Amino acid sequence: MGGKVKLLEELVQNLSRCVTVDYPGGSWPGKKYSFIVPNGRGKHEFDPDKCMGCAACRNVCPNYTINILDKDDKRTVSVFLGRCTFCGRCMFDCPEEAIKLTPQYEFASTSREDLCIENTLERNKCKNCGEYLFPEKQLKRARERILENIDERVKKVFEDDTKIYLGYCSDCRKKLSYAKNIHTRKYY
Amino acid sequence: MEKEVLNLRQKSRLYSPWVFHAHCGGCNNCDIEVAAVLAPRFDVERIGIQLKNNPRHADVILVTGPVPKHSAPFLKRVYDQAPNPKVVMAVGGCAVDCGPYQRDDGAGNYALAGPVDRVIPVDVYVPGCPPKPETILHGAVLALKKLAEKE
Repeated sequence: MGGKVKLLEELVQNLSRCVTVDYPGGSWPGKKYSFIVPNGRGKHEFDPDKCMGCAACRNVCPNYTINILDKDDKRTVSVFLGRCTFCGRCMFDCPEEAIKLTPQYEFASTSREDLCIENTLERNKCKNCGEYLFPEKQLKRARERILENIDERVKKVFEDDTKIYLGYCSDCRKKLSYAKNIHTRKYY
Repeated sequence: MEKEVLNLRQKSRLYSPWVFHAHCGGCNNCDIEVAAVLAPRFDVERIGIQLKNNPRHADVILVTGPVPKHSAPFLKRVYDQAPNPKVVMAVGGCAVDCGPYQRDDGAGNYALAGPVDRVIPVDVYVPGCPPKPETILHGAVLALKKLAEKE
């Protein structure tokens, strides 16, 4: 009797030992698919709340995959999947953890345009000359970083100054440094 | 009668499309992934796809690698030899956009005739360096849909 049960068990095992992976079992995410590598690197995904358009991913990319275009009041960060080697350096070096390589693998397409993944940000205006500057989030983060590592004695002065001078472009800052009392020399 | 025969031809074509694999430059890694797709795990033969080593028998032309100037005329000849309707798959980062062989200013490499779509029209792009076998499978499914449209 025991031998027969063993035989049946082996039979079931043999049947379930099929190597072939199901396809198409449904597309990621949500639906069931039989085999996804848990930390596999696939299609990129931006977190639009976190991304501040600092271009760290562009600078670090070995294959010139990521481009940053400044046009009028908008900055677009675009990833062209056709060139990407999926090394994941943009993911590791992003200071805000805004870009991620999801395990989604279904990104073959019938046109070149579909291979582009974009994220658009709005740029700030210079208060004096009206030229477009960096995105608002980037300025905010820069201000936070400046105030993080500063001595507490001069912190208040810095706080007031950063509010003023981060609104101007670099040229206007030079021009108005004495008029607005934001020249760096006063700290020495 | 003629229509029925043509329908039968189209049916059989979709039931078992044959693939010609053209290797144009590149580092050979995409070709290894293509071999993995043909192996039992990602078994592409369940869709009926088979490798053939003659472009005259092929419905799908699978191209890997950036096309060097040396092999561009050969690729053109292969494309002309394949009977209509045919579908071209560009597999891998090099075939889609020359990948790491491209310069950053977009001027292109002196030894390359550009990515595949500058030499022959491409229907399905499969990016990745190398592309995952699952991605190639997805591309094969797209290619089948394209073939059904073309007739």
